[in-house]
Amino acid sequence: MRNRSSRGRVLLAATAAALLVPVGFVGQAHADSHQPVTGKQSSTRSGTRIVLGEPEKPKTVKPEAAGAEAVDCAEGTTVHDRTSSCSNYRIPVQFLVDGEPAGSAVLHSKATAQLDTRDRYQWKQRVELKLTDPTTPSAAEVSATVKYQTGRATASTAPTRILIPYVTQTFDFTLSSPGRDLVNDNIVPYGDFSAPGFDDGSAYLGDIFRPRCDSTPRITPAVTGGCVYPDVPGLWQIDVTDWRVDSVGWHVLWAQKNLAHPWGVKGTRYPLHRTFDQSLIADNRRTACGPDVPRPPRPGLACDEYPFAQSYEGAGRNPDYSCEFLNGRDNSREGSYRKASLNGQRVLENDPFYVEVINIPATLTPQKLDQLRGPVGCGVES
Amino acid sequence: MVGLVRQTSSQVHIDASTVDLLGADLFTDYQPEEWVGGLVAAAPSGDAVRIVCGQEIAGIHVIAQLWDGRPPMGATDAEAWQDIAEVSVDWRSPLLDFGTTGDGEDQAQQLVMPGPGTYRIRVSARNRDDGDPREDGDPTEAVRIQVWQAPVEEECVIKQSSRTAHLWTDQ
Repeated sequence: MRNRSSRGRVLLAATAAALLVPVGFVGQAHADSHQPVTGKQSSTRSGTRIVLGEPEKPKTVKPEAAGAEAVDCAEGTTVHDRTSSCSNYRIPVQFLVDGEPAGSAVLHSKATAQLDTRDRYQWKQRVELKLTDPTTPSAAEVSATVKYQTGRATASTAPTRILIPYVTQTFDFTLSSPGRDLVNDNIVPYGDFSAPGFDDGSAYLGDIFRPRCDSTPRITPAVTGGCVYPDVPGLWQIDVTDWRVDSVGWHVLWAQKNLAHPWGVKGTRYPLHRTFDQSLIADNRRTACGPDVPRPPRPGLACDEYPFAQSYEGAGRNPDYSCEFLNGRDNSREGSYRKASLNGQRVLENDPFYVEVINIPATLTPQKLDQLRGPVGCGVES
Repeated sequence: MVGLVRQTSSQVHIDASTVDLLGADLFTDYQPEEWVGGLVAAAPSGDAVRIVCGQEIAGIHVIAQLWDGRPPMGATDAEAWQDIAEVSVDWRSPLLDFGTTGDGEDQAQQLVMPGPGTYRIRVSARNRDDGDPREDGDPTEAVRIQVWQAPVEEECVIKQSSRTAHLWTDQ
């Protein structure tokens, strides 16, 4: 006769991406993300328990073109850009009675985050759970409490919900990175699951993502700071159809195609790395546009260098650079717009970023670009 | 009689062509489309004024003065400076920071303000046309900022003589 008072165990095993090993977690941390984060061990092994197997390993996909919209992800995928993240798991669920299979279901878990580049003290994260394909009435009695494991950040709470089959339950959270220090955090959602007659268990419900939060002055309003995923390089786009900066855009395009290395070209191994080091910036500028370079042939022109002086790849440390004389107003405006854009993306000291020239005419040929821009070294008028 | 209330000065490093006058949050989104006198622009939202320089990357000598009324403008002033222009701006912050790239902790790069209100800012600049970049021994670009509380007035150009100013005002 079956012992109806036996306490089973709700075990959830969910995979975090293999790359995302948790570090500095509050509570128990396991290098193997298939293990439950916290949970009570059943004092008996009656075998009456819910077992959640490993989810299909999510496929990492690239985000769509950079834009203001947060990333989204289909089931079985994970994606993030500099300010948002998404992982979407499909977790098999099995119900065991006295160790024998007595039913199954599927738990779908989608976890998203939208960081705020201008406020480290509140950003939004969400977990959506849906139980489907139940083959036993026990599946209709499972309830979930979702929380976050973090290093330093705090998370609001969400009420426990019963996972009614085929109904998506949404758990919304506000997270905060306290203090004013620069903090590299590790954040992952997990769930505590319970059902009548079963012990509680818990497991990860999404990938671990690592936001960086800081309050660096002069980047965004100092009082609120902001957060980004720093493993995604920043991106500065120069539009050659924008009259305010087109001269600089043509120069950068020529340099990216004609220098020995494709400095700053998106997706290559040659991102630029931002610097605020005053002496390095001055040295880069002086090397590219200093006394060894002829003076502009007429008023209104300014010496422009690429890679930018405000990068570690500037001329002071890198002989593979280009400079030319171009419209002084374009040069000044581009520098100001670039500074604002990189600040808005929280590209800090030594952070990588790419430079993309956009809206290039389809009819532009290499020969035509060569005609537009001269050889390395200043002297060819824009 | 109008008097100088307080003054501070500092060498300010710029890395994007402007000296920025900011409030305590050390930040502005403001990107001017035009510069008054090829020199200065005030953010319509207040708490920010930007001064365009003759160099992209340089050390600029900045003098900041708080006056209790409109400071006198004599012949000596007009001769000493290449370009002079005035703008009005709302200022709510208790301080005006001109450090631009500093960490915001240097009090020598801040002017304590008497309180929220409308201010008149006169910007004078010289040595704007002496090259970019410059060598040791070349003239140092300099900016003087004079601030006083006053009702809103139309922006005005008192003097515009540098090539740099004309670069920004000639179309």
